Amino acid sequence: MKVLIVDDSPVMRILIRRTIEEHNPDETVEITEACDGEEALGKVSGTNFDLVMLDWNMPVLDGLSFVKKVRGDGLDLPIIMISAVSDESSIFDACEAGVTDYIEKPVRPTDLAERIRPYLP
Amino acid sequence: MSDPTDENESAELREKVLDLEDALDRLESQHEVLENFCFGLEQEHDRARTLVENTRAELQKSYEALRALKEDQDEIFATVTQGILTINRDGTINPGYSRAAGQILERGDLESMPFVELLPEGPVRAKFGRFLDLQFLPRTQPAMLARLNPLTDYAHSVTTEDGLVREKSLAISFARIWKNATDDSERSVRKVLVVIDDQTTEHELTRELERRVKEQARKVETAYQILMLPPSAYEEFIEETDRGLGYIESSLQTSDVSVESLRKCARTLHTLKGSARALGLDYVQHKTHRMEGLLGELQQGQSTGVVARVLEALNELRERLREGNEMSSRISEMRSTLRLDQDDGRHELERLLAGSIRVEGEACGKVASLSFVDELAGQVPRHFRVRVKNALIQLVRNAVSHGLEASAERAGLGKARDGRIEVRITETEDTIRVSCRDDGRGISAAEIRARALERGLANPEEVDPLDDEQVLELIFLPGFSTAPSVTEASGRGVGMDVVVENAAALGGRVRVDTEVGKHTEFVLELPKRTALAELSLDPSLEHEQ
Repeated sequence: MKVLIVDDSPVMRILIRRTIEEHNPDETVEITEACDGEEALGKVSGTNFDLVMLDWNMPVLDGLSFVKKVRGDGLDLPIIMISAVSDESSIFDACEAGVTDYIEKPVRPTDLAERIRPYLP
Repeated sequence: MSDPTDENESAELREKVLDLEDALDRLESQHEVLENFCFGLEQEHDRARTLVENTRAELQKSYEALRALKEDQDEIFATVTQGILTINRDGTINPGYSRAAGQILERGDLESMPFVELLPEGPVRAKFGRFLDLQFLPRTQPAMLARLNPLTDYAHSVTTEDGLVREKSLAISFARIWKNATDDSERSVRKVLVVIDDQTTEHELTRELERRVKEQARKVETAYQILMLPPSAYEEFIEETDRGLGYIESSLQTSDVSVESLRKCARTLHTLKGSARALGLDYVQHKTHRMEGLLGELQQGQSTGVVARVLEALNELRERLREGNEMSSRISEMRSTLRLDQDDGRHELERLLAGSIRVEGEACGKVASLSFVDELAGQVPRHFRVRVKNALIQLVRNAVSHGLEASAERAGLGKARDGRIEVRITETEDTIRVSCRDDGRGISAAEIRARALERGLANPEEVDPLDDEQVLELIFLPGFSTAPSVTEASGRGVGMDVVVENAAALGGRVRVDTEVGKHTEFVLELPKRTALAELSLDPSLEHEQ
């Protein structure tokens, strides 16, 4: 399984990476990281990822634009957005753009694990 | 000698006979073919008949099964107490729905009606439209949809027969009905199942319960207000009020109240209201204010029922004061036992934090002074106060146990032996800033790096590219602690979690600023928009003091 983590905060990337690794004892998950939507687009076009963990507010290209671009290209992989954006209208926007799941920050590591687990092998 | 003509005729006849015989043969063979054909037809016919009969029997069976199913469904739809219906992609309601659906929504016929028309025009209806569209997007996760459901707690207005508008509390939930449910790439949402729960009664009970809780809270508040007063002030106030209320009561009970007497009653009430305000007795102030209004009506000549209402309010007030009086005497007993009368005039939170610093200091052999500034103007919601209090208690404890050096070490460094902790609550136009600063050893980025690796919280390739400022953020990772030893209150690696969680619950964040050997300062930056919102989103705080 291949997972792409897209977040401009190194600490968030560590937290997500660790959460996935802890729930992946067989180490069959291969993690790739990107710091913004633009970098992520490049990576998504080259590799068949099974899951994207995505931040919303990022430099260069934000998460929502990334989702629109990816869905516009006909890619159907699950995309989980993790964001501090919490107003309902924005979450509607994200869902309508094609986000699979939405996790609001701040998130406890145990809750994060709970929410990611269904997507892991 | 035969006649040649005869011979010719007989030859012709013979030929005819032969022809006839041939024809007969052909006919016979055709007859045989026909006979075979007929036999085949009969067999086909029999087969067809059997097939028709079997099919009819099977149809009958299916029909009966369907009818039984339909009867079951009708039975279920007639008996469930929830409103159950399904919505098509075009938003219309399907013919099969539970009887309760019609009863709860108070609509005779729901069939083919667009579901949105049940909702009042405006934001709820608009949001529901977006929500329903998302239901038909197969990709969207059910948990997310549940989060976005605008009708989980919906007040449905219905007009009763006598023209009154009544509100029902409905909990409406949604589930998707799939087509090709098992095939991920082919599946689509066919219909949306809607379950409507009428929770009006439960809500009324909850409200009643809340009313009682509020009543209890008011009693506690009275006790608190009494506690805050100089010991004799409340008793003096009670005496004053008793006299005043007695006067008003006897004046109003005479059959013909004079204008002058009414005026005197109003003045008495006004004085009581003023005293109540001065003493911060909100309930009394509120009640006397209302009674003043009623007396005003009396003075303008409207007397029907008003006297009774004044007397009723007066009795309620008396009852409350009697309760207060009881509490007051119990409180003075406690006061004298505990010698609490020496009030040093400090802020309540300040006292609490100073206490925390003292207790924590005693536990680890350190002494620190507290400088406390609260510049926050105006009232703050209780959950805000509790969050900030909890975060600050944690921060001052951390400051004492981790931040400050031991006295001897401080002396060696040329610092004052006693540590200094500064807590400041300040505000700008849109942000509240809560900070806790100590003049201790500071936090070393190198130590944090080492600790993160040692604790297995991060790998070298993750930590190496971070700059010092980013490294400091690692202390907010759960499970991180820089304490070399574990004491009762700190060093368990949960301290910062408490701070971060409380800040996050108020919609804010925590920053850290530090200089090795000089100071450490934690700052909670709380946007007023979220921090001061009346409603706490966290129900666990509801019963916290």
